Amino acid sequence: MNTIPELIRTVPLQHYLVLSTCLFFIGMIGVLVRRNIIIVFMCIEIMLNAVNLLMVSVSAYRGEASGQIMVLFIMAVAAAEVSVGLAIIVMMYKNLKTTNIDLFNQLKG
Amino acid sequence: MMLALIILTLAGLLILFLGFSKIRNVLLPVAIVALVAAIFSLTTQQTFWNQYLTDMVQIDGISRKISLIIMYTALGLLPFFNLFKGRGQEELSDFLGIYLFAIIGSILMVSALNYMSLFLGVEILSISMYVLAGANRRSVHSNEASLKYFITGSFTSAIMLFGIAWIYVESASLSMVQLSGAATNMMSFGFLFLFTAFALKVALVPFHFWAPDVYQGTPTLFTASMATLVKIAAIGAFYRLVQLNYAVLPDWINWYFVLLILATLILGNIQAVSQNSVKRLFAYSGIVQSGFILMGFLYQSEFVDWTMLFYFIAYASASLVGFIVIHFVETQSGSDNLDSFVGLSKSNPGLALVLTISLISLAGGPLTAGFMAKIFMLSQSIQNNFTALALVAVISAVISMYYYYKVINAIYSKSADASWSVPFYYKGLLYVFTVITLIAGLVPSFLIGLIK
Repeated sequence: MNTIPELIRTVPLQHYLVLSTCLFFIGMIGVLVRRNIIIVFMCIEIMLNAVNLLMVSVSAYRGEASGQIMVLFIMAVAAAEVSVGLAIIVMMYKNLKTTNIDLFNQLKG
Repeated sequence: MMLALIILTLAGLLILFLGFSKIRNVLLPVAIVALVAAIFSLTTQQTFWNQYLTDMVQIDGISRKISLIIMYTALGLLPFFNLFKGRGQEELSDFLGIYLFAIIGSILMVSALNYMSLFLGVEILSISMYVLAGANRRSVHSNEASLKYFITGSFTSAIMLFGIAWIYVESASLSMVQLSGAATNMMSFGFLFLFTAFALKVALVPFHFWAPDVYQGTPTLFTASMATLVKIAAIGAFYRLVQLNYAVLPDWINWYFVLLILATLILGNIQAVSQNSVKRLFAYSGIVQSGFILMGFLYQSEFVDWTMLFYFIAYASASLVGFIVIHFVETQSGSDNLDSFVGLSKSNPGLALVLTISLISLAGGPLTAGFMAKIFMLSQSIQNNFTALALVAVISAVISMYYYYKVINAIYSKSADASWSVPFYYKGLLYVFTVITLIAGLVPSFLIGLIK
């Protein structure tokens, strides 16, 4: 039975880099084009998880632990962030009865 | 440093609990005492428990000065939280507690030495501000501001993390001080993302689209903290990042900054001209001012810190006054449009005077802090051989006179409104900020001596 860093190292590092970059840009495009707030949230989570994947793989390859600790921090902070975000959505839904982003255009100059 | 963070954290938690207790009228004093104690511990350089922070946080000259400016700005705004008294003990305690947490985040951000603590500081500050932006739960505008701030904010932190991850790919270390030689392509790619994230956070053109909406929808007192506290913290952290990594940054980085500054100064001013809401106008004003502050990032051989710190003080004192006066006018007339300011000089001469001086300072009129700050910034950039940029900056300052003048014109035009007043202690504080603006403009050497 291999240890987990060895298992991670069975795939070349370049593959992880390409995969996480692709994931990140998929998430980014999702944030920019999708109109439903919940989906936008999920796209932000995809972006964060792309970063997590990159950090973990590099950490395993370089034998350097701080990247994995950073991943734990990112997860904790993302959870806190999403809880605030969902509270904001509930607050908006009570006022407007919708989660479509296009209706939130009251503020303009 | 550590002691300041501990004091503020404990005070924040205490305030959140006190909100549910029967004891009245202690929340604001507790917050003020805690902040004063934190400022004191930072000024006297207490080293309590500092050894646990070795590689994560470092309080050196520049980060201590920026932290102090942030804390003094926060302290200046704190007494005005008394205006939320009508909303009940619980809500006031929420606002105060979260506000203290925001201060902690900004101190952590500007003194981070490791990307982990930088990220945590950014997030503590941002999450607190998302909540404060949505403080008026019933108002659709406040909801919208909160949501827009939240989405751009978390988008920004994802971009920032992506940049950090690419730097980590190359350097295999999360330390912000890169000891190895010149940056490789991967690292430059990371820095590009990281700096873009900071440009989004600071709201520099073309990454400023969220700022006017968010500033307009947020309750005005929290907009004041967004425009001063968050902006100073973000620019401070950005500056420290550039300074720490300056040896390894690629050559194009100065041109990246020059492009940002040019876009900010030109497009920011053009968009500001057509605004009708004074809050939005101040948002654009903040965007243009941060373009000016960014001129301090352009380096040739060495960094000159004090021009930027001076600009921070000038900007913070003027825009704090501006937003607080907007708050009073908004509660009086129900809107922040230019029309609500017509005849302010008749109905409330005191507020009209402080707002005028703050607008003159923001525009860079002589005898005020803003004028000296702009002069120092321009002379620094000319010394660093960015003469054309300085020229564009001067022209943009002249354009900006137009929209500041529009507000001043409204204040002093005739109207038959009944006069109204604000309590003397609020007015006294506003006069104090204005006096700081004037002193910094009349005897800048005094303030520069303090900064140095």
